[in-house]
Amino acid sequence: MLKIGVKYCGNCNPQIDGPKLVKRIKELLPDSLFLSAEDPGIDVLLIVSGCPVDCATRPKFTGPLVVVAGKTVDRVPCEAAEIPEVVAEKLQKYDSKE
Amino acid sequence: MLTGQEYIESLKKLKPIIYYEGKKIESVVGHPLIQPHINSAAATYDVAFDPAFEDLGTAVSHLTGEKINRFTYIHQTPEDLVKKVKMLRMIGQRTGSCFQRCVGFDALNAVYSTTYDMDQKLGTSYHSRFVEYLKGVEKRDTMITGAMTDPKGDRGLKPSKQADPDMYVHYVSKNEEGIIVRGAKAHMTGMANSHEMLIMPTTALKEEDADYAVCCVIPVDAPGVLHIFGRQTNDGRKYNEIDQGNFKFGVVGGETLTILEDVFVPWDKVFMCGEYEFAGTLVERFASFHRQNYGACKIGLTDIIIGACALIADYNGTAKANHIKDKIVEMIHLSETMYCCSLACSGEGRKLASGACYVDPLLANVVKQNITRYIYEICRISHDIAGGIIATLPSEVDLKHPELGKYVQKYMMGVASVPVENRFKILRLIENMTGGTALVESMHGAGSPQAQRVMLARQANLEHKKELAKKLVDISD
Repeated sequence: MLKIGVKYCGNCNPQIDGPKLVKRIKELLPDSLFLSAEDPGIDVLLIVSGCPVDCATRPKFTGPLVVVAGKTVDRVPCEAAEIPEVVAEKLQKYDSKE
Repeated sequence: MLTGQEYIESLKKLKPIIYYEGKKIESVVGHPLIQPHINSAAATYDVAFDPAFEDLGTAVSHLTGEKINRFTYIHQTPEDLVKKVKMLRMIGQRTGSCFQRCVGFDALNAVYSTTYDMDQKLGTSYHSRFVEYLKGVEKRDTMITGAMTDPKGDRGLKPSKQADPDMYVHYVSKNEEGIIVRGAKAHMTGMANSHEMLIMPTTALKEEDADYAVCCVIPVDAPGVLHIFGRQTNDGRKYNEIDQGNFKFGVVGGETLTILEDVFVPWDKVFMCGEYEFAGTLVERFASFHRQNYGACKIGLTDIIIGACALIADYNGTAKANHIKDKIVEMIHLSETMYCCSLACSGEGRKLASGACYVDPLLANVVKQNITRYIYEICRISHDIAGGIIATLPSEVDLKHPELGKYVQKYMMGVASVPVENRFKILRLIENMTGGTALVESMHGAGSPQAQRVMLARQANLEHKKELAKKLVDISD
C-alpha cells in the first residue's frame, strides 16, 4: 500500500482549494494511505501549496516529492480540473506494486 | 497547545471583574457582547490543529524544540516574520474581524529582545526571568493582552508632571516579594477574554519618570484589576444576527479600559522596574512589530470586503458596469500594496543581540501609515459600490415580520434570482466592516498616524539623501 504524506502551506491566499484537491486524489487512489507529512513511514510526500510561491515548510523527508503549487504540478502549469488526475498518476509511480 | 474549545473552557476558570453599562458581566463566555471576540480569538488556537493551516499556525520553539502555537513564538529569521504576516492574513480571512492575539504576540517578542539588551548594558537579570515565563506561555498556550497604551491625561506633559500621577501606569512601592503598580491601560484589545496582560510603558522615558518604566505580567483577574468594556458602533445589534453583519466574530477586538488599583506583582513576573533608558526601545520594538501586522490581518479583512463588494455588485445587477469593475480593481491594488509593505518589512528583518529577529522599523511604519489612508479609501469605495442602501436598510426583524416582511422582500429585491435575505447579509457585512469602530481602529490601532511619521523621520536617513543630491551636482561643502 502506497503511503502518502500530505503537507499543506498555510493557505493565506490560495488559488486552489487544497483540502478539496486532496479529497479528490484520495478518491482516485482508494488503496493508498494518506498520512501526516511527519509520519516516518511515508513513501512519497505530496506538497500542496495554495499558490506558486509554494512556501509550505518542507518536513525532514528525503524521499520523492510531488509538489502542487497553485495551478502547477511539479512547476508545470496545469488546468485546475486536471490537477487531481495528474497528481494521482505521479503518486502512483511510487507504489512498489507498480 | 490548546484547541479553540479548550481555550474557551480555560476562560471559564477565570474570574475577571468586568463591567458594561454599569452592570457586572458574570461570565464572558456566552455573553452576547464578548462571545464574538472569544470566537475570533479561538480561531488562533484552531488553526494550529488544522492541517491546511498549521504550517502558519504553528512554529518550533527555539527554547524547547517543541511544536507550539505561533502566537507564543519568538521570531528567529525573516522567514518567520513572513510566516507571521501570512498567518495573520489567513486568520483574518476566516474571522473578518480582529482576533486580538497579535498584541500579546508582539509584546512577547519586544520584551524578549529588550530584556536581553537591558541585561547586557545594566547587569540586570530580567531576560532569564522572562525566558522562564515564556516557556510557561508556550506550554500553557496563554492568550496575552499586550498592554501598552496609558490614558495619558494632558498629552503635553510627561508622566511625572501630570496633575494626576496615575495617568500612566507606575510602580508605587516595591519590597522583597514584588512590586505594587497603579494606573490604567486604555483600548485594551482582547483583554476581556485573555488569560494575562503584559504591561509595558507607553512612551520613551527620562530619569524623572523612572517610576513609570514598568514591564510586568498580571493575570486579568488579579486582585485590584477592574475592566470596563467599551461601546462599539452598532453594539445594540449584538442581540440580532443579520443586522450585526458578522455575528459570529463581531467587529474589531472588544476593548476595555483596564484599571490597576494597587496591584501586587511578584518579582518573577517583573521585567522592567525603573530602567527608564530602555522604555523607548521597548516601545519602538513593540510598535514596529505591531505595525507590521496591519498589512496582514487587515488584508484578510479587505479580501472579504472586496469579495462582498463583488457579490453585492452581482446582487444589484451592476457587476458588468465598467466603473464597478475598475473600483474593484482599485480596491485590490490598495489592498495588495499594504500587503507588499508588510512582506517588505519582514523580508528586511534583522537579528538583534538576543538572536531574535526584528522587522525593519522604517518599512513597518510605512505599513501602518498606509493603513490609515488606504483602508479608508477601500471602505469609501465599498460604500460607493454597495449604494446608499447600507445606511437605510430595514432591520432583520422587519425582513422577517409576518406583516411587513412581504413588503421588505418585494421592494428590497435586487437581481430576481438572488434571495433578498442574501442581499441583506452582504449589505450588513459591508456596513459593519467598513464604518464606525472598524474604521477608526484602522486609524489609531498600533498608534496614530503622527506616531508613524515621527518614526519615518527618525529612520529615513535624510542626511544620506542630501549627500546623494549634492554628489550628483558636484556640491562639495
